[in-house]
Amino acid sequence: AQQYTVKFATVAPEGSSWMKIMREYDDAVRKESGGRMRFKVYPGGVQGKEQDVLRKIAIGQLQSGGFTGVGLGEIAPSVRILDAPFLFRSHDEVDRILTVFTGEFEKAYEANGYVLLGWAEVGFVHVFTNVEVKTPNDLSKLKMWTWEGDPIAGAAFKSLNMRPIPLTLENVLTSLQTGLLDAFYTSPYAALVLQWYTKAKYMVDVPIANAAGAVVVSKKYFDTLPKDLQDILVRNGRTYFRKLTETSRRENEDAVAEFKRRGITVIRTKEGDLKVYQDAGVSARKQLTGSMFTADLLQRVERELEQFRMSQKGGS
Amino acid sequence: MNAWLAVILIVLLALFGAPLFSIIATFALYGFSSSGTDASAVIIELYRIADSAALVAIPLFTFAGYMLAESKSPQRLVALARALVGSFPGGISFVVLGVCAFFTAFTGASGVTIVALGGIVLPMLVQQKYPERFSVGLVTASGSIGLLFPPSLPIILYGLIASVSIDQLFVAGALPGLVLVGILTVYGIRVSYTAKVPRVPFVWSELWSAIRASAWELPLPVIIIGGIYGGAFTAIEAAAITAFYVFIVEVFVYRDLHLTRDIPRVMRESMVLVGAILAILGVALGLTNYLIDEEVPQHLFELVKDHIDSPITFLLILNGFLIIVGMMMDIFSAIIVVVPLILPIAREFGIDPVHLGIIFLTNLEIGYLTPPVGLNLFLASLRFEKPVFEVVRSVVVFIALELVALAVITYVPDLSLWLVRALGTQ
Amino acid sequence: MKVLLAVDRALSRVEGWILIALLSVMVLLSFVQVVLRNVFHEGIIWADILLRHIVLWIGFLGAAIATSEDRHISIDAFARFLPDRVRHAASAITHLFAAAVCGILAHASLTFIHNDLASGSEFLPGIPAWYSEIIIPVGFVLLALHFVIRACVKVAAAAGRGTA
Ligand code: NA
Ligand code: NA
Repeated sequence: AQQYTVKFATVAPEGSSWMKIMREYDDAVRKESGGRMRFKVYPGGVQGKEQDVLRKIAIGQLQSGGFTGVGLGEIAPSVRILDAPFLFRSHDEVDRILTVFTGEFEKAYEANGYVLLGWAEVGFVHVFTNVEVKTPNDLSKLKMWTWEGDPIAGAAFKSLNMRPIPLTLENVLTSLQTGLLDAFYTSPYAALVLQWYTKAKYMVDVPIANAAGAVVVSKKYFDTLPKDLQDILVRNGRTYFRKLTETSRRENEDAVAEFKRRGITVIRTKEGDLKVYQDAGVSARKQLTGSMFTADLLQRVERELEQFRMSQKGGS
Repeated sequence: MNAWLAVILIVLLALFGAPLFSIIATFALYGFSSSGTDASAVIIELYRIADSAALVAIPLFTFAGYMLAESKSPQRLVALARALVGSFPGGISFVVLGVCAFFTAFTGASGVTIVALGGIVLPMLVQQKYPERFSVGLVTASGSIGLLFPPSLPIILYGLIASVSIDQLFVAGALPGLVLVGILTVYGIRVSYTAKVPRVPFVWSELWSAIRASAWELPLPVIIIGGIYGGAFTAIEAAAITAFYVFIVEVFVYRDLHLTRDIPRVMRESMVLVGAILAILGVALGLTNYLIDEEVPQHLFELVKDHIDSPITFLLILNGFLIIVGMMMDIFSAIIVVVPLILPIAREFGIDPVHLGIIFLTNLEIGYLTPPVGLNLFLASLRFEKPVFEVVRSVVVFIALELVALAVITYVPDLSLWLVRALGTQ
Repeated sequence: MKVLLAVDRALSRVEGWILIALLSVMVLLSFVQVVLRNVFHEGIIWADILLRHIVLWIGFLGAAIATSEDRHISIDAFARFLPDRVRHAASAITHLFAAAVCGILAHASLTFIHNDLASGSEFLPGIPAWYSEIIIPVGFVLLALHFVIRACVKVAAAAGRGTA
């Protein structure tokens, strides 16, 4: 039997549940293919950042990768709608949009040479700070980090009248330590793993966005596979990365519980202030329209969410 | 072609003086082509130069270093260091050691220290009658020590990969770092006696006039050290300020350098050095990626794994293994690839992951000094314009001393862990 | 030979001036960025990214000049024990070898740029990546050119004509 090796890269480190589930996926693929197919996994970003991994897939050095919005946006910019500021308010809303729009996104991926194996979101991204922010207005006083080249956070912060400091990822912890920064944004689980939480006293409860993620494989490579292997790859991908998404959601919740135990205060946003964030979201999404996603797509996603929220209210 | 024949041919070309970067590139290209990967894989890696924030510090610090070296600043700083610590045996060598260690703690790369500071501190030592071989060795070796002090990026990365508290690691690195400083200081004192380095009596008025003479250069360490630890700016910002400040001071205040006669020449000279370094660094990224792609460290580790039957053999094999890895790969790739390999085995033998981190970094740093292919040897050879062979000769003693320190660090876990426990760092 | 040397000198003079211009921009831009960030709590969004790409350009131009001045790092463990003419001949061979390697790398960088063009990557919003990436093939071609000229000089020296 012919041996197919899928070389796969991710920034998720060895030992994380991301990698554990990736290995489970690999095991399932090996078993079901009767040993004809396997993954060779490069974790921890050893193959470079997401754009480098995409370049390596393009020349066939790698075949597959796990990406966040940054990499997915390189493949199909419209997918970044999933990262839009203040768009989602619950996991159910995210799942709803994925259910309705996945077909459309898959087409966008395929048009650019990639096949979707499964969504694997990073999760809701929160603002963490050293100083208490009583109202959204207090945010503008923060020395807030922004990941350079992250236009989505840029737009969100701009619409909240913040002037964040662009720095690379590896400078964040040191800069929090020295006081160059006093606030940052990331998912709770990432804040725990990256140990950034050790430099935070508060977490704002309203998430600024839901960070998307997905695992894709090169279409050129995928097309060379026998039909049954294609099926094994996709079917198991859907199953295991759904499991990963659910695990991430649980881990994010656990991380918040852990923060509370360690004395980090979760700032509850008052009903009236929620409107400030929602308005900021509307204006930030408007800024991003055109360069990322079309006005049409934004409108359809927002309409779907409206309807979903109505039905939820009606149901309860 | 037979693989061994190809390797022999490449090595021969290297020995007959082919530029090192062309040799490294050949290995990377040959490796990728034999695994059926397009040659542009090397370029994808090389292009990561344009992606590294830390690398921006190299041209800026190198330019500043060249300006200082070409001005009368070394004389002024030597006079100051002499007045300040000249009465102590080994005083200046201690100052050099401290400055280099500190600098590496911020840049996270001892190679950068050699390039950026080498031109300033080497003349300081030589003018004070320290033997040249000792001086070259000291500067080449002392950058390594900084890796154990905060806010060293490699320590942070190790903490993330091994899921160990970074704060604990910083505390744990302090005493081993001091042991390394201590051993090299004692050696510096010894050399100052054997080489009869003149000692000058401490005189307040001389110190005062030296301070006044170098008044404009003195704020530099304050800007760099105070600025970064004080939270005003990052290491890269410090490089930007240093380059700009030194330019203003040397051209317009001291007028040691002429704006049109000297500065273009100094710029060109310093950037030719940067170019020679980046050529090597760029293709070395390609070669590292080939090793990662083929899982070479993993295979290497599989080879030795079966011989591990006790904590002692584990640590011994680990030492050897890591020194080889340090020779071949850049420090960040080495951490990402190797830590997950050895962590489970270390746990099995009851070795504390915090302790392991300190062992790990000390080993890697020795790797960068180890002939025949330790990267820092080549950087020093470039910076000091000395044949690699001479650099190797001057570094041997320091490798031996660092191995002694490594043995202590490895086999006395309390050296790393005692302070962590005593302070109760979380 | 004279023509070749003149070409070499002219090339490295131009490379030198571009290098000086780039470093000047780098020193100024990085300093302005620090002042903006720390005094005015603002920052030029594209400055840091541009600075990193300048590093790449400086690297290639510096390496090109290093070639014409024989300042690349190399191990001369064997060469130094050889008689002059043999040493020059060996040196010609190693220079040609380096030129060939640079040629292969130049070709590989064209593939790299071609792929990046296809994926439409940008290095700053609205500015295609190849604006910066072009220095890679150009740089390697410059290096190869300098190496070939150096090799010719060595050949002449080995043949007993001219000095190298
Ligand atoms: Na980066
Ligand atoms: Na290093």
